[in-house]
Amino acid sequence: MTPEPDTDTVTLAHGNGGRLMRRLIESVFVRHLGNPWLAPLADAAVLPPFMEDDQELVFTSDGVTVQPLFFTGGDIGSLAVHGTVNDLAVAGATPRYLSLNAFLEEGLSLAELERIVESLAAAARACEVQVVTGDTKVLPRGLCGGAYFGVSGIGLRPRGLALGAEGIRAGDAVLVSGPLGDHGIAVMLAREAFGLGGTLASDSASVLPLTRALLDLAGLRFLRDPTRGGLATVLHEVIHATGLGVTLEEARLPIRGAVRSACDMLGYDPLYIACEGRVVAIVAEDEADEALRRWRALPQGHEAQRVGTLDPHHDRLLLVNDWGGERLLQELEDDPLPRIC
Amino acid sequence: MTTLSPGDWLSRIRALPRPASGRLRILNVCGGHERTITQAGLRTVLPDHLELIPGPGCPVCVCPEEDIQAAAALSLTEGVIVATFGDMVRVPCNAPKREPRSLQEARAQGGRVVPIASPGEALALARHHPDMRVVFFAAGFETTTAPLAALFSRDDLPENLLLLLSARQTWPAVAHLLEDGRAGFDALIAPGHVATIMGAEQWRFVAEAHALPTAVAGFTPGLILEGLYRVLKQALDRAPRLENAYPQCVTAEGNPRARALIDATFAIEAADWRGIGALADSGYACPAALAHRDARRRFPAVFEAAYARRGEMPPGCDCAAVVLGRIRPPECRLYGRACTPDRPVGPCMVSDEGACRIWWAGGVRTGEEASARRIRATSAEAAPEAPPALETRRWVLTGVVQGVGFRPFVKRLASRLKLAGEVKNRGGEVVIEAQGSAERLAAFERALLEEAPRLSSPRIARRETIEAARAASFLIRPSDGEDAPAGPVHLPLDSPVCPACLAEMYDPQDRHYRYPFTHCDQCGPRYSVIERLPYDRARTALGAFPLCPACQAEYDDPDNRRCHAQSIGCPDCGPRLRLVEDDTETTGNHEALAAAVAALDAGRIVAVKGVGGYHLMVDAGRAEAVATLRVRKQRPHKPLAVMFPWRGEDGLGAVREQVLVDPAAAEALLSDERPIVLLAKRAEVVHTGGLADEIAPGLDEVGALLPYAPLHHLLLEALGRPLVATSANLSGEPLVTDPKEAEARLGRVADAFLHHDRPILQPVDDGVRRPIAGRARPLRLGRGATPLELALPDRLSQPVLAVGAHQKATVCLAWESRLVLSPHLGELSSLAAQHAFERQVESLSRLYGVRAERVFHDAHPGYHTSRWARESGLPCHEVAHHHAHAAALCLEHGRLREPTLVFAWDGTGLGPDGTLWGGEALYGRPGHWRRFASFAPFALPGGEAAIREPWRLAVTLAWQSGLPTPDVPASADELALLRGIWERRLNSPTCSAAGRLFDAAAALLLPLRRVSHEAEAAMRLEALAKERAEGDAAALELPLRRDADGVLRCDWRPLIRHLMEERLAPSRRAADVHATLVRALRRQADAARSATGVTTLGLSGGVFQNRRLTEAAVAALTGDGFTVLLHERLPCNDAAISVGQVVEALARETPGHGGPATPGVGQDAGQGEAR
Repeated sequence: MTPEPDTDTVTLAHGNGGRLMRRLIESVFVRHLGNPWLAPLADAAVLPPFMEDDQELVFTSDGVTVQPLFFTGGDIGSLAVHGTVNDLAVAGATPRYLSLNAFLEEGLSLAELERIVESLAAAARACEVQVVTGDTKVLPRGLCGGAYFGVSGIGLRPRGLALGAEGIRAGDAVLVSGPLGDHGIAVMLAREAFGLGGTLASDSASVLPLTRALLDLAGLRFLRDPTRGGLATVLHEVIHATGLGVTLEEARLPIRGAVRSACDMLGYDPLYIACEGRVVAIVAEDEADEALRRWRALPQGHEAQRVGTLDPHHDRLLLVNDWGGERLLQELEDDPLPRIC
Repeated sequence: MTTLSPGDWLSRIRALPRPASGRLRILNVCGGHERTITQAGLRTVLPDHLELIPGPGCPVCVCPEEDIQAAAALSLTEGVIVATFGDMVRVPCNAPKREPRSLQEARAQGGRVVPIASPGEALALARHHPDMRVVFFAAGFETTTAPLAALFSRDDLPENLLLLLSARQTWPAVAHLLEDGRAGFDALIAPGHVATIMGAEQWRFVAEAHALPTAVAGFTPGLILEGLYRVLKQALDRAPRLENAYPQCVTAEGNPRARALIDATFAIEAADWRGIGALADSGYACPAALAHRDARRRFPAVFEAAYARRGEMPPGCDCAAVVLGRIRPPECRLYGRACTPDRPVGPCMVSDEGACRIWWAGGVRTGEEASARRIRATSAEAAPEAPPALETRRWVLTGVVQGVGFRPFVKRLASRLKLAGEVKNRGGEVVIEAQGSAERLAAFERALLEEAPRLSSPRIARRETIEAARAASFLIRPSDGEDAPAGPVHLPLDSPVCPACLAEMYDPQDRHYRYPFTHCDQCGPRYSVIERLPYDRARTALGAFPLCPACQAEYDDPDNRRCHAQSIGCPDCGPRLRLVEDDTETTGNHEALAAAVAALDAGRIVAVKGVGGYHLMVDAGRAEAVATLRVRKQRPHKPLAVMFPWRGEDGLGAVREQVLVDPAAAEALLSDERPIVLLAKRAEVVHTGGLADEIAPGLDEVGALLPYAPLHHLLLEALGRPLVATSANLSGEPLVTDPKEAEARLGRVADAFLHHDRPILQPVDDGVRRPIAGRARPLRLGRGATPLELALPDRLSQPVLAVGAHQKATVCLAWESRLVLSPHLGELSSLAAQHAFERQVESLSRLYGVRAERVFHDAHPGYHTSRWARESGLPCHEVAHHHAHAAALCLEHGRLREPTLVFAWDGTGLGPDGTLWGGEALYGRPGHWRRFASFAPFALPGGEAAIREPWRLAVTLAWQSGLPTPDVPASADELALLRGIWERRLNSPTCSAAGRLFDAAAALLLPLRRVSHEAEAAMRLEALAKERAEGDAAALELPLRRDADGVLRCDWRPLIRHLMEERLAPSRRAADVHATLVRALRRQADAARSATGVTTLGLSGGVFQNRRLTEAAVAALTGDGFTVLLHERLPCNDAAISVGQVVEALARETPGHGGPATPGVGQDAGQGEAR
C-alpha cells in the first residue's frame, strides 16, 4: 500500500519504529557513534560503575535548534555535543556519557543527516565522551527546520568544588577566553544568506581544555559559557546573584572586526551575542594573571583577556571606554527599540 | 534680562532714596524721549526729587533762521522746487513784512514746496522733474544724516538734485551747555536713536569730563524709566559713568558702516544753532566733492540776502531758552497765549519734536497746571500724618521671597512709611507684622508688591489684623526653625553678578577688589547653593564661611545692599580659588587666577568651577587647542559654547565682533539666565583672536554666552579674548560639581583645574536658547531659569512625579496646582547620569517638602526613567511620548479644553501602536489625542544604528521609493548586508518620524557616515539650506492618503526622488526639503480644518528646533489663517516631556471633560486619496 519510501530523505516511515527506523539507526547513528553501550534496540544503556568516592556526579541537559544546520566553523551535530559538554565543563566536570534525542524533519536529506551525525561523533570523540543511549523521532514536514537534538550528559567532578556565584568577591577579575560573538554572528550570516564571503567562523568547540586549566586555582570562583545572551547576560546573572556591579573595560574586550562591523550594521551589541566555545571566568584578583597565562598557553585561549572587575561601588553592568566614558549595559530587551530622540 | 515693566522700574526708582543734593535734574536731548515722557505722564508719577528737563532735542527747532528764509526764497525762484521734511514747512522765521515767514507761506505765495518723508522721495522728485532744480532742504540730527549720506554718496544721482544741508551733531550742544557754566542739569539720558548710529561712547565725555551720571536710553516708558533709574543710582552711588541702558539697539561704537558713510560723504564744520549761536564742529556740510550740489554755493545771492536779514527768534519767543533747557515751555510768555500749535510763533511749537508742541499735546496749558500735576504725584507720601490710630497687620508672603533681598527691602519700606514691626523668613515664606495707620498700612501693602526687589516675585498668601503691643522700631528677626509649619516653598534662582558688584570688583579702593565671589542681595548663586530651606546662610553652601566683621556690618545694615544677602563674602571670609596644574597647587585668589589665565593663554585646557558646575575652558581662537579638547572630551562634532569677554557699555561688544546679535538675542544674552544663545557667525571675521572653525564644524552658528560669575569676568578680562566654555563632563555624563570628582573624571581631559571651595549643592548647567520666530526660545533650561514653576489649571488630588524621556531628560514634581520643572539632566545612559537623575528627584522632593504618590513615565520600556518608575514602588502610569509633547505645549498656552492640532515632530518616541512615532499630527486636547495624520511608515534598519549612521536610511528610503542605491559612504559588503537586513526586516522597527526623514535627506546631500549626536544631521542640513533664500526653494507636493486606521499618511517618496536629482545644487535641495515639509504641514493643517474646523495649531518636538523650518511654517500657516502656537517657556524637545506627562496626568483625573475630542474625525472622507 505504502509506496516504497524515497531512500534519499527522511520520511515519516523512518519514525514508525519499524524496519526503516532500525535501518536508519544502524546505518547512521550506530555506525558513527558505535560503542559497547549503545545497543540499537535497547531502551536503556547499562553502564559500569565509574564514579570514585572523592567525585560527584554532574548531570545536564541541553537542546539544539540552530538554523541553518551547517555554518562556517560548525554544524548542528558538533554544536549538540559542545553545548552539553560545555555545560558540564563549566560546572568543573569531566563529561563521560551523553544521551541523544534526534527530532528529524520529514524530507531531511539522508546525506545531510549523515554529515551531521558524523560531525557529532567526531566532536564526541574529541571530548572523550560516549553517546550511550538515544531516541529518534520524525516530525511532519515544516515542524523542526531539518533537525533538533536533545542531549543530556553525565560527568564527574572533584567533590567539594565550589563554582557558584556565592564565592564571588568584590575586586575579583572577569576573564574571557577569546573573542566574543563569533558564533552568533557566523550563524546569522549563514542563516540570512547575505551573500557575504564567510570568513567568520563559529567558535563552536569544547571548552574542556579551558576549564581544566583553571580548576586547580584556589582563587577560581566561577565559570560559565556565554551562550544565549552573550557575556552581558552572564554578567547580569552574576550581578543579580551577588549584588555587586561589574565594570568592563571596553578597550580590553576581544571582539573581531568582522563581528563588530556586522553588529554595527545589524544594530546589535556583540556583548549580547552567543558564543559556543568561550568561557567567562571569575578569578580572585591575585590569581587573575596566572589564570590568563594558563589560558593564553592553550590554542583556544591565546586571545584571552581580563575584561573587567567585580565592582562594589555600584550594582550595574558598566562599560567604561578608554577615555573614562561610561555606558550602562541593560538586561537584554525582548525587542530593543531606539531611544534616540 | 528679565524684561521689567515700567511699573517695575518705577518701583525701583521709588525704592531709591532722595539724593543728598535734594534733587536730580535730568536732561534729555531727544524729542522722542520728551514725547514719551510727556505722553506717558512720567513726570506725574516720579518722585519729586527727579526733575526731567527737555533739552536740545529738536533739529527743526535749531535750524538757523536764514536757512528757512533762504529756502522760502528759493521755492519762489524760477525753476526750483524745495523738498523738505514735513514739519519744516510750518517753522516760522523773522522775515520782513510781505515776505514769506515760513515755507508754508511761501507756498501760499506760489512757491514750490514739496513735503517729503524720506530722502528717496527727493531723488524721485528730481528724476520726475528733469527740467527743474530740486533743492532738498534737510535739517536733522545724526539719524537723519545717515540716510542722507547714503543718498548723496550714490554716483547715479541726477544733476538737478541739490542739497541745502542743515544737519547737526547732537553732542556739541550738550558740550556747549556743560561748558558755558550754566548747565542747569545734573544728569543726562543720552539719545538712543542717535547712539544707534554714533555709538554710546560719544557720550562718555559727559560722565568723565563733567562727572555727570549718564545713561543711553531707549524710547518706551520702561526704557526711559530704566535710564532714569540708572542715572539716579549713579548719583546716589556718587559714581557717575556712562551706562548703556538700551543695549537692545545701541553698541559702544554704534553702526560703523553708517558712521563711515557719513564721514565719507559730508564734512564737519562749526554751525549755527538757532537761538544759541555757532557751535564748533557741530554741523555737517557739503565737502568740495559735493560743491556742485550745494545750494549755498549754487545760489549765493539768495543766501547772502537771507544772512543779512537774519534775526534770532521771533520777538517775545523763548524757544532758545526752552531748547537749552533753561526754562520749561509754560515759562515762556507766549506759550498757550500768542503761541499755540495752530498759530505757532517759535519753532518749538511747530515740530513734533519741539518741547512746546509736545507739552501742549500732553495737555499742559499753564505753568500752574504743570506744577499741580507734579504735586499730585507726590502727595500720597508727603501728606500730613493722620491721627495715630494704630493697627497691627500680619502678612504671609509666598512666591520667590527668600534669597532675593526681600527682608531688607521690607525693612526699608517700613522705615520710609514710618511703620514699626518685624519681618522674618518662615519655611519658604516671609512673615511681616507692621504697625501704623490704616492708610500707611495700605500703602505698605501696595508697595510690598509694586516695589519688590528685582529677583523676587511675592504674592500675599494671607493677611490678618492682629492684636499687638505697641512696637518702637522695625526689625529683621532670625528665621523660624525648620520645625515651624512650612508654607509653600519657592526657590530663588541663580543670578549673574550685578553691575554694582562688578563695579566694586574693578575698584582698587574697594575691599572686594578683584574678589571673584563678590555678591549682594541683587545677585549671586541661589538655587545652586541651597541645601535646605528656609534660605539662610547657615543652610546654604556659604554656611561654612562665617562673615568677617566688615561683611557682618554690611549684612546687618538695612541700608546696605548686602543686608541679609546670604551669598556675600570678601577676600577675608568668603570662598577662595586654587589652581591644580601638573600636580602643583597654587593658592591665593590672585595667584590662582593668574596661573589659570597663563595656562589658558598657553592654549591649555582648564576645568573651571563655576556656579552650577565646572566648565572646560580653552582659548577659542586656537584651532589645535579646541581640536584637542574635542578629542579628549570625545565630542567630535557637537558645537561648543563660547564665552565672550564683557566689552562695551552693554557687555556685548566682543560678541558682536564675531556673531550677529539682534535685539531678541541681545536681550537673551543679557538676561539673568545668561544662557548660551545660538547665533549666526559673521561672514567676515575681521578681528584677530577670532573663533576656530573647530568650535562648530560645518555649522554657521556659534553658541555665545556672556560671563555671569565674577570669576568669569576676571578670567575673560585678563585674557581679553573669547574662551570655549563647554560643560565639564564627558560625553553622555552629567555635570561635574566636585573638585575630587573633577580631577578623577576629567584628569585626561583638562590640563589644569581652577577650583573654589564653595560647594555646588544643586548642579545646574547653562541654559541654551536659539532665536526662532522672533524670540530666543529655550532649547535647554538651566541656571537662572530652573527650577521653573508653572501653574496648573486644576488641582491634582495627590502629588505626582513625572520622569520625562531618556535623552534631554528632566523631571517634574507637581502637587496641588503647582508644577516645578528640574534643571536639564541630559541623556541618562551612563550610570553617573542615572545617579544624577535620582539625586534630582530626591532634592526636588526634599526642597519642596513634597513626596510624590504616583509616577508618570514614558511608554518606552527601555528608557532609564521608565525602568526607574517601574522599580520605584509607587503606582506608575505610562504616557505616550507625543501625547506628552502636545500636552506640554497646550499647558504653555492654556489650551487644556479646546481642541488643537499639534504637530509633534521629533526623532523617535514610542507610539501607542507600538511603532516609533515622530511625524504626527495629533488632534484633540490633553488626555484625549487622536492621530490625525503622520508620515508613511518606514523601517529603521538596525534600530539605533540607523540613527547613528543616517546613510543607511538614505539608502533604504531610496529603495523603498523604487530608486537605485544612492551614492553613500559605504562599502559593497555593507550595502549587501543592509539589503539583507532591510528585506528581512531584521532589527528594523517601524517608524514615521520627521526627524529621521531629515537624517535621510542630510545623508543624501552630505557625506555623512556617522553622527555623534542626535541632531547633527538635521543641523548640517539646515546650515546647508541657509545659502538659499526662502523664495529660492521648491515645495514638492507630497500625496496624502488615508490608511486603514483612518490616519492620513504623507508619502515622502517624491521628496527622496527629488533629493537624488544630482543636477540641482545640494544647497538648493536642502532648501527644498524645508519648503516641502512646510507644504506638507499646510496640507495636513488644511485637511484637519476641513474635517474638524480646528484653526489653532501647535508645533512641538525637537524637529522644530530647526529655525528655517519653524519660521517658514509659522509664516505659511499664519498666512493660511491659522493661529500657530510655539513653545516659549519650555524647550520644544524632549525636555518638555516631563511637563507634558503631568498635564496628561491632570487631564486623566479631571472629570467632566472626558470623551473623544471630536467624533467623526477621519471618518468623513472615506478611503483613499484625501482631497
